[in-house]
Amino acid sequence: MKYDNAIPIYLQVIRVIERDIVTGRLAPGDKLPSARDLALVHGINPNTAARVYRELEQSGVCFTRRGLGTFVTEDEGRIRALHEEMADDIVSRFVSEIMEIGMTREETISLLEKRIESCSKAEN
Amino acid sequence: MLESRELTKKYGSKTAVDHVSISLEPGHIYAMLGPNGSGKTTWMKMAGGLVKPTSGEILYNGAPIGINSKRDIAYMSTEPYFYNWMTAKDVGKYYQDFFADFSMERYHELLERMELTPDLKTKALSSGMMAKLKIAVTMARDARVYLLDEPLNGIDLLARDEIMRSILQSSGSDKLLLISSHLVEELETIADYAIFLKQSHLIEIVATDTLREEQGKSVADRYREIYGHGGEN
Amino acid sequence: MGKLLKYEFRKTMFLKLIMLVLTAVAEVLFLFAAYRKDPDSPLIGISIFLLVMIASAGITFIGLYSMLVLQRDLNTKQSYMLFMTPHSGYTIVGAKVLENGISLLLTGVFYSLLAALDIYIIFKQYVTLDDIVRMIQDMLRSMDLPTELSATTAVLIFFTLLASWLSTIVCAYLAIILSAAVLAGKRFSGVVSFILFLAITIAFGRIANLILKALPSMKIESSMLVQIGMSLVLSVILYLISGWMVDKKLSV
Repeated sequence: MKYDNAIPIYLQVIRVIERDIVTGRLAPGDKLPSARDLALVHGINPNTAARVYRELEQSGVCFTRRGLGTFVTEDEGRIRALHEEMADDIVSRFVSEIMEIGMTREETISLLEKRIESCSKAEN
Repeated sequence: MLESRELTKKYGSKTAVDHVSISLEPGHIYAMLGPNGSGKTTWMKMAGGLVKPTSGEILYNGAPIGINSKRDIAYMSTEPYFYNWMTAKDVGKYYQDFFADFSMERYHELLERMELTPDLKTKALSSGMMAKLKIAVTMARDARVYLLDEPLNGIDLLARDEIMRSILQSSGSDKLLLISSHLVEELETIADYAIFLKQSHLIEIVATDTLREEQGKSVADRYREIYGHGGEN
Repeated sequence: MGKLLKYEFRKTMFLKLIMLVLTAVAEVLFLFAAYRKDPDSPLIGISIFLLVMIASAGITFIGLYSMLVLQRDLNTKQSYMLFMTPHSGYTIVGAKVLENGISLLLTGVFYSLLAALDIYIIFKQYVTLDDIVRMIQDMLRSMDLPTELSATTAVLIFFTLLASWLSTIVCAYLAIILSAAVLAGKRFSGVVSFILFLAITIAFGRIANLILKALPSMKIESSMLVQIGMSLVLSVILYLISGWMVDKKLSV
């Protein structure tokens, strides 16, 4: 995985895991690798890996059972909320960037519709 | 765990390390950075007990560096140092003879991962193979402290990945890893602290996360600030 | 220290192998000459001469070679091998001195046995210590030298040589260590070592003479005991200083 070294690494790893959860690659209740294995797989400092899990636990996306490991939450509602959070994140970034280059509301919406249509066509 | 207090080393009129005070704790991976001549190698050699300080102290668990520290500290120099009559197998035996924490099994495993064989003669090794052998034998020790001086120098990309992997495998909450390297980017994700030395002085020690979160900088960015032309520090 | 000793022997193995090979060659020559139908006297003489040369040169070279090994062990990057191990300067130097002493002893024994064997082959009879003593006495008489040589005296002479050799070795080691500590392997460290070695040896020689003169006159045996004692004391002092220097003052 290519990291942006100017942004906290743990945030980037969290994003990867959240994306996996939201897209279903990680199912609710799935067991996540140990912090140590996470560090090895991603090539990151073990303390960073531990922080990743701490943050995920704090936000309710994962939970830890002592002695057993860290698991994806089984709370569908939480996952849906996460999905919405992520979508909102992407959209707000898009909106601020597109407005920065001076597109109007109408232009933006028409561009979006065109793109979404060609993307779904490509998928089919 | 490993601490230097006003540590100084002079060679004649030249000062290699100038009143450097650093305190390192276990459970962390420290990247020691700075151009050639900034004092990294000399500081490490003093921690390893190979060089005696001119003034100041360097302590391991509160006691001066000596026999006890050498038992727990695995030092790897930039230069090749094995006896030239040795084969890779002999090197392993030597380490086994002198270090209780050396695992011959792990040594052979690392040799294999670095694509080296035990019958290779040290005097016939290319610089890349020698670098790999040094790392293999050092990481085959289960030491409390690892001092690695430029472990990635002269090593191909795939072997570098192997080395990073064995570095991470050797880390732990009771272990201290200090790695010096010119390849700053390679250490970005595994180091949680960066130590910057410049012209024998300590410039700063900073948590890599602090650099990112509070200043939006990578370690490489900070490196350029400190050492680049126009850098104030 | 056992492990250190093992590697010290390994480091000096090369020279000893060469000596062994040369000895074997000379010995084969000797045997060939001695077992011919009509023994070839000149050839026997030559091969005996060669054997004696190799034996004495060998003993000298073993001593010198261990200096070279120490020089290399302190002044090249190979020093890291020794200095990263959890050993004090005292055990490091001690292992070197022991290796040297044991090697010399074994070499002495080896060549003595070989000589005894070869003498038996020539004279077709066993030769005892007394016979050798008598032979030496004959030799001394022919040179008009005193022949009062008892077994005790011979043994004392042997130990005096041993003790003085020991102090020479330790002195040389200290000189090399001092030079390495001060010059850190720069170009002239070898020359400086030699100068320091001479300085210490001469200084000790003077002190020893003063002590001997100050003592009441005594028999040869007693004075030799005193000499042995002084050599041993010097060796210990120099050894302790060497170990201390390596521990506290030497950077590699």
